[in-house]
Amino acid sequence: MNETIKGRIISKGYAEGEALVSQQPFSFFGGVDTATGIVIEKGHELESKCIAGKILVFPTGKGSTVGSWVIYQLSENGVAPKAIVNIKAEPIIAVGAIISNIPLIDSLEKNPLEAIKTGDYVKVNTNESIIVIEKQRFKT
Amino acid sequence: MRREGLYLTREEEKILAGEDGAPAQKAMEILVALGDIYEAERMIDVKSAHVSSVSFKGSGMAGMRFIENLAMDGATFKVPTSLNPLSIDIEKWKDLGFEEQIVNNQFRMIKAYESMGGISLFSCTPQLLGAAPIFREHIAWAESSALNYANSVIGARTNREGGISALASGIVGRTPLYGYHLDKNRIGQVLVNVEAELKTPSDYAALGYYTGQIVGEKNPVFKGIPKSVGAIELKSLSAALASSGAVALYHIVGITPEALTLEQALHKSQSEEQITFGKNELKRTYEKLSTATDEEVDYVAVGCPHYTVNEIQTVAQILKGKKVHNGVNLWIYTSPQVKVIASRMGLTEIIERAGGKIVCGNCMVLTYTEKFNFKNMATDSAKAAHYCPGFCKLNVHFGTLESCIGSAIAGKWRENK
Repeated sequence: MNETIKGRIISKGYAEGEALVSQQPFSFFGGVDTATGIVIEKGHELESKCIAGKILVFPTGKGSTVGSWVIYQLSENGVAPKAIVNIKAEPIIAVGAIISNIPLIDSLEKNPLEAIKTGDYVKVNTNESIIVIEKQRFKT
Repeated sequence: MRREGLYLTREEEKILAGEDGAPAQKAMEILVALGDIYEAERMIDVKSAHVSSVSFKGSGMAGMRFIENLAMDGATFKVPTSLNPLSIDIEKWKDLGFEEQIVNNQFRMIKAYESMGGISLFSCTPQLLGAAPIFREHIAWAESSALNYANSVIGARTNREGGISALASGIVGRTPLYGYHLDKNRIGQVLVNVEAELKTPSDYAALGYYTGQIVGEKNPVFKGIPKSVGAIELKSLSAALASSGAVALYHIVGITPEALTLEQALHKSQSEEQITFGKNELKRTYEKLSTATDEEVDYVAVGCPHYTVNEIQTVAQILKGKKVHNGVNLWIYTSPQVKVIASRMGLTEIIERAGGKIVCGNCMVLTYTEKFNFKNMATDSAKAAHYCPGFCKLNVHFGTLESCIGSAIAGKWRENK
């Protein structure tokens, strides 16, 4: 029972993996521990969850432009998300994803925060500008 | 044409496809993504770029490796691209006690940027150091205090670039056509009635700090600024507006080129939003910027943005024949170029003889002063007063240049108005 949704490529590449979804905007600067990929922002929905290797889904970015470097540092340390899905991309996250070669897709035809749940298996395919969702492959 | 949205010329498509090399391809990917996000129609050429992510403290190991990788891949700047300050004094880093590992990493970044053809200004005031654009010129500048000066005082056109997007624009000589490159986004939005008497650059800093926190990203129009205003005052105003707020463009009626009249600045006869900056607002802003709770001063730091020769002359005049008090560290921040001139003029000698230091090529916010365990900083910069408590763990006394230097001599905070 797979669902395919068309979107807009912001940063190209292909990745597939387990989704981690937040309803709240996300800041990489001050938000994530660059050594481990664990979310450190106090009070954030994803606090103490690990974003490493996940398909990270959140509405949009926030915070300082240094956030672009934080994404790059996560990637250098091997603990970056495999791909990012946004409702609307914002420059800091977009630039960070591009310099780190992390696929980023936004402006999907359906709201990704409703279509994807944490634990779903998601394939981000920027060659075809689509994501493919396999519901609940992983129990969380 | 490859896609919906942003139009690309055949040449731009080739760059995006990698025909100009990997660095240019990556740069174009960044700019195309930004163009998409901001719904730009197409790309335009830029005459220059100014890159902010040059300090090691700001970019970190990640930033250092990124720029080194780019340089190793053969990246070069297609348009004149100047460089922002470092995290260390480029000449006297050893005397000032910066750690060897940090210095090595900083020099690795310098080497990478210079191998790409970056212009080694190492200053946040490119507009005053030979990199000034002209009226209506399209540029891609990072450094929030320089880009808004270029937009407002010169009437050039730039968006609020980040370090990476400015770098990308420097490499391909282009930027997407959106934001402040378009007439419609340059109209004044909030009228600021200036009723307080503004006498010093720190008064202008207070005006900027007060205005920035209210208007955020909007374009303020200042009415009531005296004709005596000049580059030094506007340098302070620009930096403050970009610190408490995110102001990329402001107008000053009768002074700046897109505001010969109020009607021109606002593009209609009156603005919906008005605020007033009077004597009380001026006084309260000075108080708000001062976080220190006692009169102790152990660090006096002026030159944010970098001091001009003229400002260093003023400091030397106050210090001549006097001594900086025991236990006070007076650091005057400026560009390497200005220090050369100041030294030739004998100003450096006067300042050093008094016990002060001229620090060149360094940023007082993004430097490594933690090891000195300074407690209370005196400064005439609203930008430094805003960032230093968080970044450098300092309490602040905010005042005029005269108060700051006077306090360095007295050994305690002494206001001189």
